[in-house]
This record gives sequence, C-alpha cells and structure tokens, in this order.
Amino acid sequence: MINIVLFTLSLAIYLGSTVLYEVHLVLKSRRAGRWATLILVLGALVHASALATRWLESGHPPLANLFESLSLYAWVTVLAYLIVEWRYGYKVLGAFVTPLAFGAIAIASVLPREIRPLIPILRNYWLSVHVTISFVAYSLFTLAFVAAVAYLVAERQLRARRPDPLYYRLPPLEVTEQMGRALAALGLPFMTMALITGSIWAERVWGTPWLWDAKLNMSLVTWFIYVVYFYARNVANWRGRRSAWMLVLGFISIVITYLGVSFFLPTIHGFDSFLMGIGG
Amino acid sequence: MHIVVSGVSHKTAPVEVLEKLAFTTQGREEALAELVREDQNRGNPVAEGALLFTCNRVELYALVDDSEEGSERVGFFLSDFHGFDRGAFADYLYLYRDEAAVSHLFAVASGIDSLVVGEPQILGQVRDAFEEAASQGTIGRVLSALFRQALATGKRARTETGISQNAVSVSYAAVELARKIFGDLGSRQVLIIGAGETGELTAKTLMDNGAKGIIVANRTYDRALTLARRWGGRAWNFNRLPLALWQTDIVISSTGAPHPILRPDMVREAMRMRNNRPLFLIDIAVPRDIDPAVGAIDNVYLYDIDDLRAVVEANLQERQKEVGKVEAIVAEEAAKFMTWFHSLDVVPTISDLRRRAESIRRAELEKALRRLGDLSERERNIINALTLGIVNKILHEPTVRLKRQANERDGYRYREAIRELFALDGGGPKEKG
Repeated sequence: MINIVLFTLSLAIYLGSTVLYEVHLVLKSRRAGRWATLILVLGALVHASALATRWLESGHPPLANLFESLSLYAWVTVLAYLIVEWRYGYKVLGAFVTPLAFGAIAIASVLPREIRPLIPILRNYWLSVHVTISFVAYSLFTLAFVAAVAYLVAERQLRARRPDPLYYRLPPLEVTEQMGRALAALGLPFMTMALITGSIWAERVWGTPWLWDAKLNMSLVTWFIYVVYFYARNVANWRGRRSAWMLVLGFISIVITYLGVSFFLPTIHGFDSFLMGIGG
Repeated sequence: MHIVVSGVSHKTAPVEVLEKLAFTTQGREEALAELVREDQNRGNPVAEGALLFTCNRVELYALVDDSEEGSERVGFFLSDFHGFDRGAFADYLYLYRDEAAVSHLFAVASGIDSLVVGEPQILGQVRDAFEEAASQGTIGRVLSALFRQALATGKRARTETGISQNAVSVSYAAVELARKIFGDLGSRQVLIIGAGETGELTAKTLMDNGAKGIIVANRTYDRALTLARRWGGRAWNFNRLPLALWQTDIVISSTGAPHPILRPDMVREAMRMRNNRPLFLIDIAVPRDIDPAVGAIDNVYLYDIDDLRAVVEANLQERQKEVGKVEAIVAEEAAKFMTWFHSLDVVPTISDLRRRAESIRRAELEKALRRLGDLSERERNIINALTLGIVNKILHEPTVRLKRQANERDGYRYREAIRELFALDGGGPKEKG
C-alpha cells in the first residue's frame, strides 16, 4: 500500500505549504512565499506519485470512489493553481487555495480507501474521460472562486475606504476580476464536456442519456450558473461584485453537487450508494 | 581613533535652529575644508570629515584622534563655523561616539530617524554627503567605509522590511489606490476638474506613475487650456463632463464650487456608458465636489481628502510597526562595522607582531640548542639573551613608530603594511581589538 504512504506524506507536505502561504500573507515574508511554492510543488509531485502508484496497484484510474476522486480533485486544483501563480505572479491566492486543497484531502484521508475491484458498469472508457474532465472543470471553477473571494475582500475594503494591511497584499481588482473570468471561461467548456461525456456513458450503461437524479440535476444547475455568469457579463454588463458573487455561487453549487448530494441525498451517481460509484 | 557625529535634527531642534545651522553648497565646501585643515603648530585632531545636510538635519561625521580636543572640535564645529556662541545650541546638539555614532548614521540612512518614517530621499542625501566629501578629499578609508555600509544598510532595511512600503502622502496614496483598482495604470486616462495644488500634484504623480493621458476640465476654458498645455493633455469644457466621465478612469476633482458638481444620476449614466468598468473618483475639494451618494454606486470608488488622509495615517502606523525590525538590522550592521573598525587599531597589530617574532625566536633557539648539544646553564642563558636582544632591538622602532602613527590621519596604512609584510593575517585567527 505504498500509495497510502505517499498520500499521507503529501497531506503533511500540503499542510506545511498551507502554513507557509498564510505566513507569507500575514507577515509579508518573501522567504516564506518562496518556500511555500517550492513545498507546494514538492507536495504536488509526491501526490502525483501517490495517484500513479494507486493506479498501478488497482489497475484502474484513481477515480472510482470518493477517496480517490477527492484526492484527484485536490491534485488538479494544486496543479492549476501553480500554473496560475506562475502566469500571474501573485502568491497571495495560494493562501486561499492551499487550505482548500488541504481540506479536500484531509476529508479524503478519513474516508474508506481500500482498493476494490470495479463493478462492471464502471469498467468503461467513458468513465475515465467523464470524471477527468469533470475534475478539470471543478478545479478551474475552484480557482475562479478563489479569485472572486480575493476580489470581494479587496473590493469591500476599498469601498469601506479604510484599507487594512491585508488589502495591500491582494492583487488589484482588475487582475482578480480578469483572472476569475478567464478561469471560468476555461472551466465552462470542460463542464459542458463533462455533461456530454456523462450522457454518453449513461447511454451505454443505463440506456438513457439523462436520469432525473439529484446529483445529475445539481450538476446541470452548476453548469447553468456559469452560463448565466457569462450571459450577465456580456449582455447585462455585470462587473465586479455581482459577477464575483456568481462565481461564489457556482462554487457552492459544485460543493453541493459533489459532496452534499453524495452524502445526504439518494443518487444513482454516488459513492456509498448501491452502485458503489464513481466520483464526480 | 574615534568616529564622532555631532548635529541637530528635527527630533532635537525647532525649525529656527535648523535654519540657523543650515549650509549653502559653498558653505558646505568651506566647512569641510575647514574641518580637516591641518594646523602647522597644533596639528588637527580631525582626520576625516563629512557633512550630512537635509531640510531636517545638519550632521557632521568625523574621524578624530583619541584626544579630548577631537570630540570637542567636532561637537562645537557647527556653532563655531556659523559664528555662534558655543553654548547657544547646547540644548539641541547631540554628540555620539563610535558604535552609537555608527548606529545613528545607519538608522538615519534606513529612514527610521526621518520625520516621515521610511521616506526614500534620505538615502540619496546620505549618498550626496558621501560623494561630496569624497570629491573634496575630506574622507578617507574609515568614513568611506562607514558611508558605504550606511547606504547598504539603508537598502537592506527597505528591501527586508516594510519600512518604506505603502504611501505616506496624499498623492501617492491616490496612486496606490488607483493601482489597487486598475493594476497597471498604462492604459488609464486621468481627468482633472478644477485646479489646486494637491489636485495638480496628484495628477502629476499619477502621470509619473504611468497613466496614459490627461483631460483638464475647467469652468473657464482658457484656464483649462493653460493647464492642459503644461500637462501635455487636452482641455475640455465643463459642459462635456459627462463625456469625460465616460472616457477616463481616474477623476481628480478640486474646484472651488459651493455645491457638488458630480451627482449620482450623472455618474450612474456614465457607468452605464462605461459598461460598468470601474471608476476611481478623488475628491480633494472642500466643500466636496462629488456627492457622497456617488460612492454607493457599483464599481465606483470615491475617496475624498479625509479618506486619503486616513489612508496615509494608517500607512504611517504600518511603517511604525516595522521600526523594530529595522533597528535589529541597524544593530547588526553597526556591530559588523565596529568589528572592522576595531581591527584598524594598532595595539592588536603590535601584539600580533611580537607574538610572531617570539614564536620564531623560540623555534630557532630550540633548534640551535639541540644542535649545540651539551651546554652549561650560563652558556644557554647567554644565547637566550642574545636572541631576545636581537628581536627586541629590531622590533623597537617599528613598535614606537606604529604607535605614533596610530594617531595620524593615514595611520592605518602603516598598520596594514605591517600586517601585510609580516603576514599577520595569514596564520592564526585575526585578533580583534
């Protein structure tokens, strides 16, 4: 079970990186910022090897239960964040992203994690495609949410006309606004693809492209929120606060789709339901 | 040798005193020349000197010999030079020696002794003082090293701490806020309504920091034209204000109007035309030019002069919090400098030299005695005394002369020559005085 060892190791490394990102944010320590990124890169590498060894040990891609999917979600989010940090040059967002990623795998770490053989309906090429694409979409939306939160915090302070020290650490409004929009714009096609590939897979296993199920409906709601976000921006000229709140709403919808429905509502698409299912 | 600083600053003296002790450029040159001038009969206790002069301080840095006279000369130099009674400024003058003097200069260069903590100009002023003294040849190795390290300390304090972060003037606070809204100012237009010192300074600061262009609006078109020419911008009539709000991103308003000239309906309309692109409004006028209700409109950020002052005040408090960190850096750098400075002292060099000679003598003596074999006690004593005598006779003159030179202006050169010629730093660890 080397994958579990690596997984636990990456959990510890992410915790270290999270602490350093917070130190960087609060104490303005550049050195902490440099180390935070380095350690996050290290964490992502260890995490990647955890996922890879799990794949080798189980013989199927690591997306077959909530443990695996949360782990994958955290990994893709961290990876996407590292690209954003590199592209935009703002480390402060790490202080928001790392706790989320750490939180996701901290939740994963208390879930059942034994490798079980895949049930027949999950042994399908579309499963991997569908779940992978969903996670890319979720990760991009998560980062868009983080940008929106950074925007809202800075905007609130700017509006209150009493900027506190934290405010000076946040990127300019136009930067976080553009960042949120760009990430959501990147995420929406993935989300759309996720719904399409999901339908194709459903067609194969259930013989129907869509089932009116809580989880499936919620994912449609999520998709719809982002569509409205772009519609409002482009047609009604929504900018700034309102538009940022849409991204927050989208993220909440994702969390409900992903965790809430799986845990609290009956769904055919769940993890501990009768299908012993798929993540995402 | 001692490093001494004597001076007055905004912390110890009122403006009138600072003014009385101020220098013209020519006055500075004369003062420096006077400070280090050799007197044929009495010599001069001051070996090196530099003068740091700003609006808020007049300070004299000097390297003096061990005599009382040295500190006294530096301590009273400012009064003497300006022809005042020696007691006239006794209450305002401070005099620091050695480590305290070194720390003082480092603290000054770091900006923590400035009126506005962390202000950037002082670093340039310290550099000017250094270069002026260097070009006049009034500083030598010690004060050059001191000033160089002061500049390095100043830079270190600014990069490693937040001592000079965040704007502490109204115009810079406005620029910083604009940056926090727009990021890069490169594509941003500035609109200035009315005229006034603060408004114009803010506009200038925005332009200096990369804003793209400026539109000047004034009740009288001619006035607008004059200003626009000065800024290299465009002059617009007052009645085109709504259009100007559409075309610009940053608005500075400082008219003398008795009633608000920018009202919510006007700005709301502008925001509609702008597709809700953010608008930064700076109201410097008293009474206000912009209706406060405008600030509640989405994507509009309204700051009046009181808001900007509050931001400046908050920033100053932030800088104040960094002072402790800077003091630690200053102490560290001062300790480093003092180690070097003490190593210039001749006493350790003399004892190093003697120790070196003694170890050679002992080694050679032992070798000789071994080869000579059986010798009587008396014969041994004679040989021992012989070697001792030779070593002492040879070292006598260098020791005496080195001690004498220690108080001279270029004394350290002899010390260095001795260390170099006898390879005193080559062997064991360097001794610190």
